Amino acid sequence: MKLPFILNGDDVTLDGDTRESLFTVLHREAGVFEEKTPCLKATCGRCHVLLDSKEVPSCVVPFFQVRQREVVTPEGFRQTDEYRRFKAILDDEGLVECAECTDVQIFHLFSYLELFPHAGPEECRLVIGEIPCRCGSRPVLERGAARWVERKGAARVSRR
Amino acid sequence: MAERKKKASVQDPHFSPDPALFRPPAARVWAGVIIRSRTPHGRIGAVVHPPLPPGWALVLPQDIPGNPSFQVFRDRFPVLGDEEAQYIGEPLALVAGPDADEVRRWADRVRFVTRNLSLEEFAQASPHMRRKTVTGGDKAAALEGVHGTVEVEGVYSSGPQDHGHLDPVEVLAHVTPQVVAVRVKTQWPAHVVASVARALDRDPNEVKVLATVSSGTANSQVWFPSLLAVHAALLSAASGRPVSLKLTKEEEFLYSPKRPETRTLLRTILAPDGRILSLQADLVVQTGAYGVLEDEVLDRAVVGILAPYKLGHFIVHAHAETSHTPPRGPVGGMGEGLGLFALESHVHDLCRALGQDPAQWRAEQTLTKDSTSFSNMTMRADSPLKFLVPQLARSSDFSRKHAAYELLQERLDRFQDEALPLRGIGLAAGFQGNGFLAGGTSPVNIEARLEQDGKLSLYVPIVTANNRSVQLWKDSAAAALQMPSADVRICPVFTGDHPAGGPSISSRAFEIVPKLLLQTCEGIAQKRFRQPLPITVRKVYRRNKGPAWDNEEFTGQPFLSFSWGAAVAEVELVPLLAEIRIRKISLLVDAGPRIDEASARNALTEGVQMAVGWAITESIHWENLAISHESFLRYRLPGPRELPPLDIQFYDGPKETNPRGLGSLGANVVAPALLAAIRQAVGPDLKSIPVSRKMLDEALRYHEASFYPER
Repeated sequence: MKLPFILNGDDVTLDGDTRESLFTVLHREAGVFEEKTPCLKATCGRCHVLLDSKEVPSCVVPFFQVRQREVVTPEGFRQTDEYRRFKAILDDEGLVECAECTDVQIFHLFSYLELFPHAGPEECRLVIGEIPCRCGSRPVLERGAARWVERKGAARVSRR
Repeated sequence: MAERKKKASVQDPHFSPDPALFRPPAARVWAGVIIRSRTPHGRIGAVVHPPLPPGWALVLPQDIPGNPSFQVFRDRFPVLGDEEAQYIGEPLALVAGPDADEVRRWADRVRFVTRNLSLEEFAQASPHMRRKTVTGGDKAAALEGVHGTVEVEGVYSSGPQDHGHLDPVEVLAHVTPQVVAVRVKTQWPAHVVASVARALDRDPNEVKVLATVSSGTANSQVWFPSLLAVHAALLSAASGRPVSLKLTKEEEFLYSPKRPETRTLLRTILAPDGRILSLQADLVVQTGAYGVLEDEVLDRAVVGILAPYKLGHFIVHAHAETSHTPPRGPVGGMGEGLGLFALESHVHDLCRALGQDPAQWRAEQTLTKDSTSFSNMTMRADSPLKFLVPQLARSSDFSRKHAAYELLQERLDRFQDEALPLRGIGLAAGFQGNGFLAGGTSPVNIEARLEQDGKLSLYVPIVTANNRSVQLWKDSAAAALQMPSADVRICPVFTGDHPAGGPSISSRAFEIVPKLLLQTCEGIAQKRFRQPLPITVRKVYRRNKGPAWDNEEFTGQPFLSFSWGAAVAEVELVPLLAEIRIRKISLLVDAGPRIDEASARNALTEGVQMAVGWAITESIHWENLAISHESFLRYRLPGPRELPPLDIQFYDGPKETNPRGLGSLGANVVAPALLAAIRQAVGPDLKSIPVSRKMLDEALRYHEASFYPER
């Protein structure tokens, strides 16, 4: 079954079985999530994508649901200006990148902050903790999130 | 073979990754699967399998063209189990085909005829136990004239721990008549080169390894990826195609090396003033099948017990026990953490017995200038614990809180309201040994090459995910040669001709590489503008500081250097939920000047998470000599509930000292501090980690019963 949809801003048509998950098809047909192994139980957060701006675990989303919809993956998000601005804050805080989780963590955290722009530190801490990893980047991500929320809040005030 | 070597010697060693070799089109790549033993121990007979589909490759032990044994330092074991299966999950054969699912289904139908060993065979082949006795001091002299001694005894055990990587190891191997290309996530590319060349009987110069990075600095997969690389290369050689070998998450969890379990009996005789007059230890380290790296792990664990404090007399009986379970390996440190865990937990007990403040006891009993260490070395200065422990105790308000919680523990009404939290605070001190004992001679080579286009190529035998340390290397090389940092590149491909080196552990990345880089760049600067380009300079680091380490006598300088640290953990428990909440962890470390503070904090945070998992959340259960499936499903890395606010401080010592590694320091000191805090909250009977809810519940009930004996 060939389905047309928008993947990271490009119109694509990918071939997949109705029983397959979005993750499986993206991985096989589009080379997305290369070298990533998610849990396939929707718990590890490593296969998350934005489906029409809503964050979903692609390992449990049936492929047929993406017809005529927009999918943004962490790889696609990396190309955006928002990512670069957020990453600059994290670099400034001293982010040591982890090969396994950094991209996913930033994607996950940013998606949450877009949805809940007033998120407090404790909320951010829980969101970051949803992606389990051994690396030591969590405190930096927490500080980065707080700065991002602060900056966004200041921008809103100045617009008013 | 001779002709091949001749060709290789004229080949350009500065090889850049060829996409055709390292990233072939997916359609060309076949999937490899490992066929594993289903029996923990038995003689292997015939292999029974369904007809092999045309073109597929099946590799049995007799098909290995080169050396069939896999070597890690001095330890060897078979690439594929040939005569005798030693554990459930041991690789016995390999198969490759075009579709991963089909190959896996085919592999599931393969059976090896195995028979149990006869009694005589079993006696000959049963697991061995390597024993070592380390003794020092003079017992009679230590005990002479001392009255009112206190004897303290305890048994402390720690469980296995998974490395916890999110992505299983994946290898792509492509064997051609000219080269063997391997892409693998490893921290020891030189070992991959040597292992693949040995198994395929190829010149190491023909083996090219593109090492991709793994997360952080966890020393968790030292040799395991090399074994998988050998398997993938054998399949590629047999099938004539590129082969990808990717373990499933469950497969990796069940069969990859885990942190060794330990059980340590410690008995000390103390003078009334707190001096350790005599220490006796019986240490058992479970190393799994083949006892891979058992010398290193065992010796380091013994050093962990003996190094921190003054000892009148000591005797340590250390045992490395081999069993029919998957080989253990270094996880979150090479072994000293195992000994430190037992020692520091014992210090908690002996301070209680003496009625002393643990911070004060540690500061008083640590080695001082001119005292003699366990390895007969005279201390040139006070041990850093002398100032680290009091400073941390002050900043964390340890002594006051500890005394208050001790008093609380004596109060009866504490257990009356199960909703009220119980609190405890624990302190532990320790070190990280930088460098290897057994592989101490493994050199680190760095090559710098100023290319004809004026750019600098650095060949560093360290694989790191740390973007900041790589940038730091580039910046320091660029500064030394006064060139833009964009013109410096760190070369990713390793060949047999590439500078070899030991595993990429954090101490090497921070302690050795920056110095060597500077030396190579100075060498280039001297030749620049005097010699035609390209200019190549190589520098080799070999350990030559201090007296050599004697593995048998336990004398000399065990490590390249020590990094010291102390940790305070504060916990609270709600008895009703039997749930531990860590309120705060404070760390103070002395690891020399910090090249990059963010990297240092990151490494310590990683170590703390490792310790929290080891002590609380990560438990593995064995069932019939295999890890239970339930353990795989329930294994949980520490989440936000368990991860507390961290207070990481660095001790700024004299400026002339070198930066030292701290990758496993956090885990080494935080795990015993956590157990000490939990024990203060629920009672002293808990002496093993990970602390499960069931253990907590039992400890709480036992402790409560001691107050209300009539119940």
